[in-house]
Amino acid sequence: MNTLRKNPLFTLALVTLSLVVLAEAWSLQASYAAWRSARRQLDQARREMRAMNGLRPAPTAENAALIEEDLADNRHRLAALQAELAGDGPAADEWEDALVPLQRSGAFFDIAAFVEKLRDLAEHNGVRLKPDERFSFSAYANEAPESGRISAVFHERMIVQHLLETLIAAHPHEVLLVQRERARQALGKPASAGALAAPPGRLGGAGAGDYFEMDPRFSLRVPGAVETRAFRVSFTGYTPALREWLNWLADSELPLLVRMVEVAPSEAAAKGVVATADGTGPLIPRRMSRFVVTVEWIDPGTLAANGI
Amino acid sequence: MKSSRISVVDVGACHVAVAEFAITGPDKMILQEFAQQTQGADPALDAGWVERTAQALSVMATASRTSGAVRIAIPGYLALTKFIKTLSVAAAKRGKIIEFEASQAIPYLLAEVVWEHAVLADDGRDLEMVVTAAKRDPVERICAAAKSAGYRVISARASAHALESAFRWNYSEVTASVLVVDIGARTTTLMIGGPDRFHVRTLPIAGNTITTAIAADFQLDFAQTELLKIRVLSADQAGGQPGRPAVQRATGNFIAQLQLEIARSITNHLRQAGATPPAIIYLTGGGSLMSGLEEALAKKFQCRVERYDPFRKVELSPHARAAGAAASGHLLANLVGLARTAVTSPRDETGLLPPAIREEQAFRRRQPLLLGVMALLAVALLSPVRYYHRLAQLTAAQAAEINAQLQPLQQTASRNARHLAEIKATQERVAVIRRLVEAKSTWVEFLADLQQRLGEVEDGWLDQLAVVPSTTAASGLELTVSGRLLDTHNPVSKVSPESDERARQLLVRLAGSPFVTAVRNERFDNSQPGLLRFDCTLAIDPRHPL
Repeated sequence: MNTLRKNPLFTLALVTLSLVVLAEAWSLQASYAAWRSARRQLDQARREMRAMNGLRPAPTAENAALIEEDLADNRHRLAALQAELAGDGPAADEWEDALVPLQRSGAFFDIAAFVEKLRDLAEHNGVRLKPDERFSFSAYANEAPESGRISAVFHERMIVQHLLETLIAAHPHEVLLVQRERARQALGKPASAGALAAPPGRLGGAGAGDYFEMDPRFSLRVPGAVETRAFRVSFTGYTPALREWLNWLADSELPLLVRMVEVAPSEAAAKGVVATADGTGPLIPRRMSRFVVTVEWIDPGTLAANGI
Repeated sequence: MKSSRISVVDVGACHVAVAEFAITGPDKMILQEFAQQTQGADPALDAGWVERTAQALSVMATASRTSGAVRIAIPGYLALTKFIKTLSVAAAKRGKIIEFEASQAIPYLLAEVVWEHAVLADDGRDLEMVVTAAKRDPVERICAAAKSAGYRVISARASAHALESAFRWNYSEVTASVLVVDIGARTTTLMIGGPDRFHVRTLPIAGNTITTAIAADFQLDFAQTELLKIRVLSADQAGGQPGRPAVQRATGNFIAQLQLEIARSITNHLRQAGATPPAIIYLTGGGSLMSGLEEALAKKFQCRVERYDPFRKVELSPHARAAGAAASGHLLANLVGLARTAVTSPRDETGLLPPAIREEQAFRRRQPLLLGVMALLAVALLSPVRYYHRLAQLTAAQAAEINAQLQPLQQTASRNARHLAEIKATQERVAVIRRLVEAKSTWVEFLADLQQRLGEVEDGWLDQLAVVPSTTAASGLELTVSGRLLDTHNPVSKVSPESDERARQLLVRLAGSPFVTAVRNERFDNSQPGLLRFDCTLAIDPRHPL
C-alpha cells in the first residue's frame, strides 16, 4: 500500500486498468449469460418449430378451414339430432308452453282433471278401465303433491297423458296398469323420499301400485349424463293396437323411447278364430294378448346440462 | 546504450555538481548541462550538510534544467573500500562467502550499511574482490535530498569507483602504471595500478587538513580560514598576502604528509607480483589546485605529473560552457565516471543504493510490466466480450425470427386443437343422441323384422315374448319367445315333413335377424295335430341393442 501511495500515477493507471478489466470481465460474463439465455430460447424455439412441423394436421390455413368446416358439420348434425330427439309439433309445443301449477291445490286439480279427461277419452273409444283407475297417480286422489315436487309430478302427468292418449287412440281392449318408475338417485340407487316419485310414507300404502323398479340393464339412463324417467303401461288387445301405438311412439314429438315390450296370452275372451286351410271350421281361436310396454322419457334438460 | 542522455550528481563534502551528458559514441560525450555549487567545508556544520545539499540540488536542478533519473556519487569520506582475497568457491556458494568476507571487512553490521562488491580476479584458487560500503543512513538521506530536489536516484557509487571508471575511459590509451590523486575537501583518493587493475585508497587528509592547521595558527574559525587559504593559494606567489607563510607552511606539511602516504601506497602496490612503479601521476580534485604540488610530487617520485584532463573526450555544449564547466574541470572526473558507468554497465545500476530505494527501483521497473499485463488483459478481453455480445445478439435475433414464425402457427395449432377437441366432444354427443334417437324406433323395427320372418315361414304367430337379463349374451339381453306354426296342409298330422321344414326354416330365419346373434333352447311341442308349438331363446346382438 505504501508503495502504491508513493506512485500515484502508476496506482491511478493500475486502478484504471483494473477497473477496465473488471468492467470487461463483467461485460464478458453478462454477454456470455445473455448468449446462453438466447441460446436456450433459440433451442426452445427450434424444438417448438420441429414440434409444430410434426403436428398432424399441420397448422396450415387450409387445414384450419377444413377443421372449421368439419366442426360446423358436426354442430349442425348435433343440432339436428337434438331437435329430432326433443321433437317438434303440437305435443312438443304443449310441453314447452305448459304452465306448472304454482300451488298444491292447482297441482291437485290438474291431476284430477287429467284423470277425468282420460276416463272420458277411454269411454269414448271403448277402452275398458278399472273403476278406480287413476293412471299411476292414485297417491294424489285425495291430496296434492308436496310443494317441492309439484313440477316433477306435473311433468310426469303430462308424459302419462301423452302415452295414454296415443294408446287409447290405437284401440286397445283394456288398460290394465299404468306405473311410474320409482325415482332413483344419480348413482342409480333407489331415491330417498321426496325425489321425483312417491314419498316414503306411501311406498307400501296408498299409491304403492303407482310405481315400479326399472332394471338398470334395460335403461338408457347414464348417471351424470342422461337422466330418464320410465313408465310402464300394461294393456290387453290385439297386435295391431300394439303396432299402431309403437309406431305412434316412434314418431312421437316427445323424447319417448320404448325400452321393453313383453307379450303374453290374455285371459280375455277371444274375438275371432283362425280358419283351417280348407275352410271347414275354426282350428285356433283368436285370442288377445297382454302387452307390457316400458317407455323411458329422456330429460332434454339434463342432456343440455351435461353437455349432450 | 540505454539512454542517449544521462544525468549525474557528484555530492562532495563542500560541493555539489550536476551534469547531463549526451552519449554520441563510444569515445565521445557531450556535456549538455552543468551546474555546481560550493558549500562550507566546516566539519562543525556536518549536521546540516544534507539539508544544504538538498537546497543546492534544488537550485541546480532549476539552473541545469535536469530532473528525473540520476546517478549519484557518494563522497569519499562516507565510503569505505576494502580489497579482499579469499578462497575461490563454486558460484553457488560465492554469495555467502562474499557476504561473510564483507561482514569481516566492514566495521559495521551489514544491516547498517549499504555495500557492493566487484570481483577483480578469480584464478580458481584465490578470489580477489573489492568491497565498497557506506553507512546506510547518510546514503538514504542523500537520496532523499536528491528526491526532494526532483531527482530520482537510480544508482549510487562511491566517488572512487566513479574516478576509476572515468580514468579508464578518458585515458584508455595509457597502458603504463599510473597514480591518480583526487584531493577533495575531507579526503584524498589514491588510485594506483592499471590498466587492468587499480587499487584505491582513501586518505583522511585533504583540503580541510590545511585549513584546520592554518586555523590553529591564527585562531580563526574554519570559514574565515578557508577564505584566507583560498585567497593565498590563488594569489600570485610574489604577492605579499598576510598569512602567506602560515598557509605555505601548512601546505608544505600537507604535501609532505601526502608524499608519505603515496610512497606507502606505492610500496604496498609494488609488493604485488608484476607491479611496477607509477610512470605518471594525475592530479585532480579541488585540493590539487594548490601551487607546488606537481613539482613536489614529480621530484619526490621521479615521474611525470599531469593535471587530469576531463575534457579529452568530452565536448562542452554552449550551455555547459556558459555555466562554467570549462573552469570546473577539477570537479568533472567523478561526473564523467558516473556517466561512463551508465554506458558500460547499464544493468548494474544500483551500486550503493539503500534496499528501500532498490526495491522502489525494482518496483518501478516492474510497473511497465504490470501495466502492460493489465493493458494486455484489457485488450485481450475486448475480443471475447465483443464476440459473445455479438453472438448473443445474433442468437437472440434468430430466436426472435423463429418465434415470429411460430406465433401464427401456434395460434393456428391452438385453434385447430380447440376445434378438434370440440369436434370430438360433439361427435361423442352425436353418438349418444343418435343412439337415443335410434332407440325410439328399435322395438318397432325389431317387432316388424320378427313379424316379417314369421310371415316368410307362413301360418305362424307368437304367443309370448318376454325380456330376460342374460349372463351369456354379449348384449346382456335375451328374449324368450313362444309361438305356434299351423300346418294347414296336414291338419291331422302331428309330424309332417312340411312342419319339420317350416320349423327349421323358422329357426334359420330367426337366427338371420340383424337383432339376433343366436337362437338357443329350441323346444317343440307337436302333441296337437296340425299345430306345432315352439319355444326358443333369442340372444340379442349388442350391435343392435333394443
